[in-house]
Amino acid sequence: MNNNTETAKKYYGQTILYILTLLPVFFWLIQKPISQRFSNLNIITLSLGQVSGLVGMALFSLAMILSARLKIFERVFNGVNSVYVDHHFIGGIAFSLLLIHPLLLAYTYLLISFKEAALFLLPSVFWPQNYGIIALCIMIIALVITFYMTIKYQVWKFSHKFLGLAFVFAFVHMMLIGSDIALNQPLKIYLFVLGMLGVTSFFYRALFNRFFVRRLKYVVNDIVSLPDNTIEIEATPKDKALNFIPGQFVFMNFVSKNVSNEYHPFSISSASGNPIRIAIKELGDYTNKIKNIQKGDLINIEGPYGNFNFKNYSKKQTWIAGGIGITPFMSMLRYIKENNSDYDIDLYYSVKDESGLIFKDEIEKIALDKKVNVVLWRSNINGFISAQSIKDKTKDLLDRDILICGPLVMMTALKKQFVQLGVKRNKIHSEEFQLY
Amino acid sequence: MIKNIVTIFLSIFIIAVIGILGASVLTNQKSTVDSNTQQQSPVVTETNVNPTNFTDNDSDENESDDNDDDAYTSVKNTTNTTSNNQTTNTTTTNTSGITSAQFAKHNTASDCWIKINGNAYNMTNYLKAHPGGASAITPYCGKGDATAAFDTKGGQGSHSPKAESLLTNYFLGKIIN
Repeated sequence: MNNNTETAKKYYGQTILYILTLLPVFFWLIQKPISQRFSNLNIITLSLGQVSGLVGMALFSLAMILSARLKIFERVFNGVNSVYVDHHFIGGIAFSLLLIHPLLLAYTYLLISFKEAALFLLPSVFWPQNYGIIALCIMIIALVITFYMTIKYQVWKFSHKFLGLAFVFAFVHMMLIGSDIALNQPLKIYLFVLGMLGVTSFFYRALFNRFFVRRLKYVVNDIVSLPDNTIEIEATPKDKALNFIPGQFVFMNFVSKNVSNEYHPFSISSASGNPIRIAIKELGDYTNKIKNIQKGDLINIEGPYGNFNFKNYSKKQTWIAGGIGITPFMSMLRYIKENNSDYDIDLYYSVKDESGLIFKDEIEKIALDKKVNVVLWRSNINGFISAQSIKDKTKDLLDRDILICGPLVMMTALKKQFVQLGVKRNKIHSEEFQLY
Repeated sequence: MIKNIVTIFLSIFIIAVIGILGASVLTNQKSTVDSNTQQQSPVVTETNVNPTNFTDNDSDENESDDNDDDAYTSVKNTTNTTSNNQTTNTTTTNTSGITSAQFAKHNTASDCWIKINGNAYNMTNYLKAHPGGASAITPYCGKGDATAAFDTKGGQGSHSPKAESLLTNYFLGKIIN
């Protein structure tokens, strides 16, 4: 039951996005007869230019709103990751439409002369249009950085904030330009509200997050070195402890002179919030520096996020972890260890080789005590883990809920294979936090 | 996937903008040479009136001659200047006047015709240059009658003779009902 609602919910969020995007087109279309909008090529390009601007701005607003990372989005979109995937997609489409917007409008001038078209595209004494040009320039620079440059996350995050500035200019341009928007009251109000929500989201998340977003303070208590360049940080709450469900993740930053202070998502590996444990593997610029954290450093924690909750599903479950994807399952296992549970669990822990088994001893110990059947899968010996090999070992696979967390490639491949083996889609649950 | 879409649109944008600006610079140099030889600078930037169609309809027209005479002469003047300057003709209106329906279509800031003294003027290219701001003109794009607004400068006096002569450059034709 729960599973079904969850799949349905995902579409619910995207349907809302479709409606919110197409609503301005609807207002615009009923403004005057369609035949008038598409009577000749000249008028058609003008109309398409207007539509690209309207839809582009609606999508730009929605991308801004989604970036606010509100908890309600998680429920509507099936997870924060899904929200970010949509944010990225919507932003890209908005950018494309807004690029084509001035070109379509310039077509009319092109018929007069190249000079007129050039004058139209360049800044002039007409400020409402200049705001649009400024917005477009900022947007192009910021998005070229986002899409085409490999830079440090920190630099990326800083440059990405400029899109908020571009949005403010684009918003002013839209409200002052005095085209069909000025004459169409419903359209004007709709775009104003959507745009204001976008601007508010930008201020809430990108500029003043330290004042608005609720965060919990933790102090680093212990740093445990684990195999495979992994560390587990243990921290105790300064005031209030985080309340979460095993399998969830948080956004956190370190207040330390050794590590930069931006927020990153991490899975919780402990069963409770006091103390909290976070396992981090060295995978990039930022995570490589985390080993320099010292005892007593402060952590700000925002969350919890995520719908990866084993208690939502039937008592018979198969868990599949790939590499560092074991962390949410560690949280669940530790929870099961501390609480009496009647869950029947098969855990497949797939790693490259023996050295990748970061929680091996602890997992085997829990497996002895509780009804957890553990299969350690070493790819260098057994080959890549496949749905068939899991089915060979777990005979009642079709009756079970399957929870997967690991590299995106592995999750995508396994999900496809499970469906081919006849597992129902709503029995497969995965935790994705890997953007592209 | 989205990256490819963005790349395509960004390429189109960059090529189009560079193309337009480049062509503008090139044709501008060329037209300065042309105007030097012709010793006449272009006055009319755009006209929707097609001279040939105009004369065709002239013979067919046999109603209210008295009223239309003035309009005809002025329209003919405009078309003459137009052909002298070899300004390219883009859209064509094939009647001796502009119907209210046609007029009403040009009701945006990017395609703006206004009505003054029963005549239509294409203000699209002038909007940005209007000292009183485009927003003083845009409410009249394709609708209403801007006569009073023009005569009184929106209730603040009156336009200069220079402004009035400037207006004639944007004349399109008489609006017929």
